[in-house]
Amino acid sequence: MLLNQVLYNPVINWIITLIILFYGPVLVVYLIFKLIGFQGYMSLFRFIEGKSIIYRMDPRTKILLSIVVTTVAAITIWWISAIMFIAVMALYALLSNVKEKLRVALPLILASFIGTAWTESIFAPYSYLQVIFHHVTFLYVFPQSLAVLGITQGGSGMFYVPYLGYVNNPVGLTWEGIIYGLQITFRAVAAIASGLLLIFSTPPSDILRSLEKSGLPIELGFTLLLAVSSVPKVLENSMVVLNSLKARGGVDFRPRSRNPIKFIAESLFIIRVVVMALVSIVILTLRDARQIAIAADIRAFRAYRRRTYYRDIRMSRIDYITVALLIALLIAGIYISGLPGMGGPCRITHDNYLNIC
Amino acid sequence: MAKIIKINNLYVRYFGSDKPVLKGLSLEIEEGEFVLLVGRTGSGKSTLLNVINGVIPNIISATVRGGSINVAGRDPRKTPVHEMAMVVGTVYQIPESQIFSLIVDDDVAFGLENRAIEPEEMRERVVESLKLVNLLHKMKHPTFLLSGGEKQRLVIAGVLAVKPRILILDEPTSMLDSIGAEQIFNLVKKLNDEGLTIIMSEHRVERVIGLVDRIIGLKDGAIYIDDEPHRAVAKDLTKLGVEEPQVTTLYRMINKNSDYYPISVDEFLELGIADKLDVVSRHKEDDGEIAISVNNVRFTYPGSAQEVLKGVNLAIHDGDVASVIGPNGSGKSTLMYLLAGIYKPSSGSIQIFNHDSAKLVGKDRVRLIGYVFQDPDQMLFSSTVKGELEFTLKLAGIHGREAEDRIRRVVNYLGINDLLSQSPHKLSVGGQRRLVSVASVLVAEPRILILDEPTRGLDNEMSTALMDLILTIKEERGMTLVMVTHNMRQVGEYSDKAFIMYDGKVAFSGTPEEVFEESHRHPEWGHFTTTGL
Repeated sequence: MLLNQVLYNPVINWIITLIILFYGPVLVVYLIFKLIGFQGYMSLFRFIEGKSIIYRMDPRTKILLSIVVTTVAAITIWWISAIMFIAVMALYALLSNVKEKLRVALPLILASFIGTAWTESIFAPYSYLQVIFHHVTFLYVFPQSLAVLGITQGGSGMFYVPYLGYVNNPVGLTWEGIIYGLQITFRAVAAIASGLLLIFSTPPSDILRSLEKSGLPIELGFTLLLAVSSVPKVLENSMVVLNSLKARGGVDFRPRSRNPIKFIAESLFIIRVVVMALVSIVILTLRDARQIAIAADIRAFRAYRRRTYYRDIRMSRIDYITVALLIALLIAGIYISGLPGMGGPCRITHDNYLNIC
Repeated sequence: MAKIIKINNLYVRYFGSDKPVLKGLSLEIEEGEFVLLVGRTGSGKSTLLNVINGVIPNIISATVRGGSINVAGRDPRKTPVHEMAMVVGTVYQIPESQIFSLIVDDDVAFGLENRAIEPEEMRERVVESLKLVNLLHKMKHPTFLLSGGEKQRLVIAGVLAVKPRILILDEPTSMLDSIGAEQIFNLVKKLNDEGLTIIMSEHRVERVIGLVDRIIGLKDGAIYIDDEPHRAVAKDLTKLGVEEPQVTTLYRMINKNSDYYPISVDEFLELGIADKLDVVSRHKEDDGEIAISVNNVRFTYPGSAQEVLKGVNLAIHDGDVASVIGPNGSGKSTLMYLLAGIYKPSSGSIQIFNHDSAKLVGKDRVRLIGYVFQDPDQMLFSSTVKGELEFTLKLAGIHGREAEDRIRRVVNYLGINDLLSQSPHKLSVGGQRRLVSVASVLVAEPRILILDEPTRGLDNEMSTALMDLILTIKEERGMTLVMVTHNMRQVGEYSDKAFIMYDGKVAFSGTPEEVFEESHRHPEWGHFTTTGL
């Protein structure tokens, strides 16, 4: 068959395989950079005040919310995670300027959705899928050497593969893998959505203040703050360094030669240039470290044991009610996860057979 | 008035160096004084300031010997830095490395939280400090979206919140454009009028000389000049590598042995000698080939909705020195990016020596147009200076003997022969690193050289030396120079033509004299005149 010869020609097979393998991660990076970009990152921290209940909560309550949502999503069956995700998204309605928030949140959520789903669908162990779905349908088969290298796990036995016929111990993309990936994904996005909710509804320094109040060492909080606030500078530096490389002689980061030896030489040169650019960006970012340290000392950072807080961070009635609800949710989650067929990830039982997920 | 700072016979030597930076320096400053500290890079200005606030020897290790240091009744050597900061507030060069929070008011509160000030009082002080620096309306703004001048004002607010009696500013405007610098100078003057003692080191002497009570000039670690501004300029600041006001220079030319020198345009005019001057306007005929022609160029950054260039038209002739000036955000850098081929215009066209810029790629472009970035660290990538030059040549497709010849030529021109095997990142920040960044572009021998703020952060002497060098090479090689700058003295001294960018367009163009004159009618363009003459 013609299609068989085209699809499974060794070179084309490898190309398709590599595309499938890298499609997920590359798309994630693309989505984050193209859709969110510098402006989006900025708006993550452009905290806008609001009056709704979510803004009045103590940051610690919101931190607990994301911890509980993440935990429950992780230990229960996928559709409960999906419900949690939808519930968290419903809370977004309480944010002011929702549209701008969603413009940043949706690509991030979509990116983690695709990222997780895609990775899980290729890398999920075949034996898991067999247990969950009782049947595994291969859509496209990768070269066997991937399994030998331990990159992916293959099926054991004979499987029918479209356009290829029966294959012994194949590795590749399966229909069940995709479904499993999508299910698993709800755990990831529920966690991310609740984390973003915290960031959107709380000024960043209040998150740190509340963490410090609950015992996080101030040094750690300060380091986190510096890391977050240096990102705009790092992005800016990266842009300038790339521009200066372009101005220097049109380094376009794409090997163009058709001669294989020249192609490799060009690629190596590009790698060298990328490393040089990274070194430059690091130097630009770190060279002011000493001055930062001096400025922090001058402003009495860590000079006294006692610290006061610019904003009152206090638990109110809403917080106590929310915390109670969250604890109830956590207990319910733990209980549900113990019920047959309602648990999260597969667990191995005493007779060494996989439980139903 | 009471002396707030008394320093007697001070010696400072950094570890690992055998020469002291400060040698037997003695100094007294009165409460409420505004002192301007000047001198070459390395003359000991920063060291002196860091001794007053106690950073030396408490944070930066150094041997501090000699007599007494008394700052508002304390010895900074024996007082913790954060306690000294309650008396002496310090503002350094780079605003970004002194801002720790993402939101404006949080940053002002940072020092107060650390000092466990009660929340009620803290909130009052935050508002009060922001009001002082005129940032109250941006209280909830993200810090990273502030302009350079606003950031530095925020730093000052954070320092003022602990109510110091002395404010130290170590070249606070070297990273700012002229509008930002003006904001800082006005603010500092206002604070001084309210009674704060100010000690500021600054290269833009011309802009502040009218504000200060006293100038202290350091030379090789000792006080060389310590006087009221008029008498200080009479002693000739240029010997300290410091630029003096242009009216002073002008008056010195006319009246060599005067004991009084004007420091402002008004004073100069009062002397009644302006009529004796013939104003000669240079006017270079627009002849020769057109090197750069920009036709109705519009540009929007990818992924942005805001148009940055809104129909730019300009022509620069071969062999000219053209300056592009204008406030930050007016589109100057973007225009340079387009000229250098980093981005392509959204519409309109750019011709470089009659080649369509959009079609000019790779080697052909590198040999026509070179771009020296503002900050040498943004364009130095290799582990040796030689490697840096070879990198450019490789990109320009020049190999072998020709490459060797060119490297030899450019290092001879710039006098950096002995640096070839050194790492560019270990060279001195000021002069040498800058020279290497210029060399790394010049080695491709482009016909057009773009310079973005070529002398930013350099002291007056180094700036002049670098500019003279570049101009000499330009003359010998017949290059065209396009220079983005905030330094109006450079515009006046070196350019044949200046273009004012404002709001994405060329708002005006002409000889520097015409541009300075026109700018009087347009305060929104920024402060373009150096002296008003």
